Amino acid sequence: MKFIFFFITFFMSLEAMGYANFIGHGYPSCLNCHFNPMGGGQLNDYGRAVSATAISGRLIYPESFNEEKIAYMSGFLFKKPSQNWLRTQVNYRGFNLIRNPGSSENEIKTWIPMQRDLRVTLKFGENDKLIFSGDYGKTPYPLNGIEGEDYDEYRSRSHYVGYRFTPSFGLYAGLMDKAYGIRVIEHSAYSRLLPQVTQNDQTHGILGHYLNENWEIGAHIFGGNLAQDQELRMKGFSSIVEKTFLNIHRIGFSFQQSKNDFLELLSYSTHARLNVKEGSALLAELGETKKKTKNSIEERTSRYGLLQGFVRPWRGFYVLTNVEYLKNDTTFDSYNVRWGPGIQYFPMQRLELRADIYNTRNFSPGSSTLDSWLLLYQLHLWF
Amino acid sequence: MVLRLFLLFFIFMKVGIALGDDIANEIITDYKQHNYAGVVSKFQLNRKREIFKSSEKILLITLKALEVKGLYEEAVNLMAVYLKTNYKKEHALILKAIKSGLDGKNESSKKQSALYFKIFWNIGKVILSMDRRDIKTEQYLKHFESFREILTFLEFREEKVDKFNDRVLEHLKYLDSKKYFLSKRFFLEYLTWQQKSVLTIGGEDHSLILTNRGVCIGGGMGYKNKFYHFFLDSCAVLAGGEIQSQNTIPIYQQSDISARGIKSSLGVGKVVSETGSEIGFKVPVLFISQDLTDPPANSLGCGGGCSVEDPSSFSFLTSIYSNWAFDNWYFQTEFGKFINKNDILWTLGLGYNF
Repeated sequence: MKFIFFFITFFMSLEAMGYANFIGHGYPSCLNCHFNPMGGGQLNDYGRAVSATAISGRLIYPESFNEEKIAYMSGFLFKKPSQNWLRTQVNYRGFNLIRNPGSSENEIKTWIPMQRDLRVTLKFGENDKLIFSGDYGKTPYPLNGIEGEDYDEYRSRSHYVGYRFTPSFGLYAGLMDKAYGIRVIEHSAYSRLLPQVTQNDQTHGILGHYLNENWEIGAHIFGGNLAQDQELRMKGFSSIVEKTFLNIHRIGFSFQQSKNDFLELLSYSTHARLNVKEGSALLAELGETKKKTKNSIEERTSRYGLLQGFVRPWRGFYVLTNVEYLKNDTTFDSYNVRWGPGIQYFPMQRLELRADIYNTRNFSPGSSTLDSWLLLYQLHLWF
Repeated sequence: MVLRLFLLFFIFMKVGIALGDDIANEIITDYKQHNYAGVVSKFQLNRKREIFKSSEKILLITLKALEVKGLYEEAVNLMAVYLKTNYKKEHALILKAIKSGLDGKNESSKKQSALYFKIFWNIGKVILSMDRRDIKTEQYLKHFESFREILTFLEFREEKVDKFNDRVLEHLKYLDSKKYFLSKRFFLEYLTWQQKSVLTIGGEDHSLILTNRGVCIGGGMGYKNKFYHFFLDSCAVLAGGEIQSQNTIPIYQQSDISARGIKSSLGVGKVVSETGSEIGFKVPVLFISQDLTDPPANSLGCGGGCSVEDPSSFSFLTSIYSNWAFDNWYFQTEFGKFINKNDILWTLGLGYNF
């Protein structure tokens, strides 16, 4: 039953993660702004300041407020913390999911409070050498939850300890997202669903992280999420390698091999994150997954692609293009493409508004079916 | 005779001075009442009078009034005349000292340096008030640079001079970026679109879904500056499609239906980065020739006659596009909706700007 729960929650999408497109602002590594070197989770002080100045607009600030003052106010209590060892963050993210928008018969609207959590990080030593970081929050009821079934209402999606031996190298142990692929925010993205690196796929393990001017490497050995039953825990190894090219872009590849008592999963992908400057960026990922059930009843290779473009016409405002490709079984010719424009607006730090349209089209020899539509409105608050 | 002439000259001179005094008094009165328009008007009517060349007080008052009224060019002219009249020799010495590369800190009086600064400032204001770059801009820029050089030499208000100089140069950069130039490009797109058609069986209509995909090869031309891009592009469509009944009954299906045509678009985009990336709107017109085959007369249910309507040859769309530029190459996506229909077209393309 828990397997079904995890399968269902795949389709609920969206939770606060790092925004890989901020390479367009000149930040190729997630470590610049997050405590977790692979991105996602709590922002560090620098990340808060960047989100307040480079990323968000100045809607509420008078002209007399300079960027330094705005950065100074980016802390949890709207000021620079008085101590250096504790950092907190509170998040809320909710969205309105509209299926078949505009259809008088089939339109379905659902409001999903996707994220309500508290994040805490304890940090010690020079350059925050030693950190203890974690979160705890209320999770939404599964979108297609089974009536009468009990689901965990509260859970932690990350809790780990990290130590950086040198500025280039650190080890992290605990519950974290797997080091794999581009961590786009869309949890329903094929590039996150297929390799099982979406919002409930965190795993206990040890992550090694290496970073220098040209290379960034994450290697992750994991034993599954200890909150799950033993037989469901996906144990294995994943890795991501990124290389900086032409000084501002990144190209990389990822690999993952994991298994539990029911499933063996092998996935690999290659990706690029291109800095188009002044906040605009282009992300692309192409990968395959091979899934084999333990009794070899089913063996399937799937292929996925992601192309996500961000154009920033003015500060705080991004226009998105999301193109996703899915070939569920490479032995067949059919595939589908999910395509859609979106807008993302940060009128001020701590507030994100977003709207996306998803148009899904199936391509199958000898077949032509009507496109399906999905509309998302999203509100994200963080303090 | 000489005496008479001398007397006449003396009388004229006295009258002139008296007139000058009157204007000076009026100007001072207007200034005290903050009547800057009055000061300007009196200056414009009497600009050749000696008083504007010799009185420092009147110069400063008139200058203030001209600045308040935004008449920077007149302010520059007024000060240039004043400089020429009162500091001709000193000015020549400074220019000579600059040429010889001497230390200039003590080369001029504070008043003279302040005058240079005022001229520099007003020339800058003239440039800042320009909304296009032309010959006149270049002339003022030449003078602006000369006075900046003098002020740097004199080490007078250096921080202010540098800051203002940066502001003027920034404005010139902005004027440059406003200039439109011809844009030309070549591109190759993958495109897919869906349209509806109708199968008529015995007078009853049934909806069909036609999904096309293919490529579009073409080019475009337009006018572009650092902020906007207005263009027309056109490409040849080489595509094919599948058609199927929307409902399971009746069954109608056809594969690999060739679609050939042209897609032309008028568009306007906002340039969002120094690399030339854009976001904008297009109004594409799609002309496609695609023939659907009627079901054979002996098909099930076609006894009373069956026919399939070809999709419309001309379609008008509205679309949004995003363009990510990397030097001359660019990547582009487009998401378009057929006007008055719920059908969608997407494109994904790669192009080169010449």
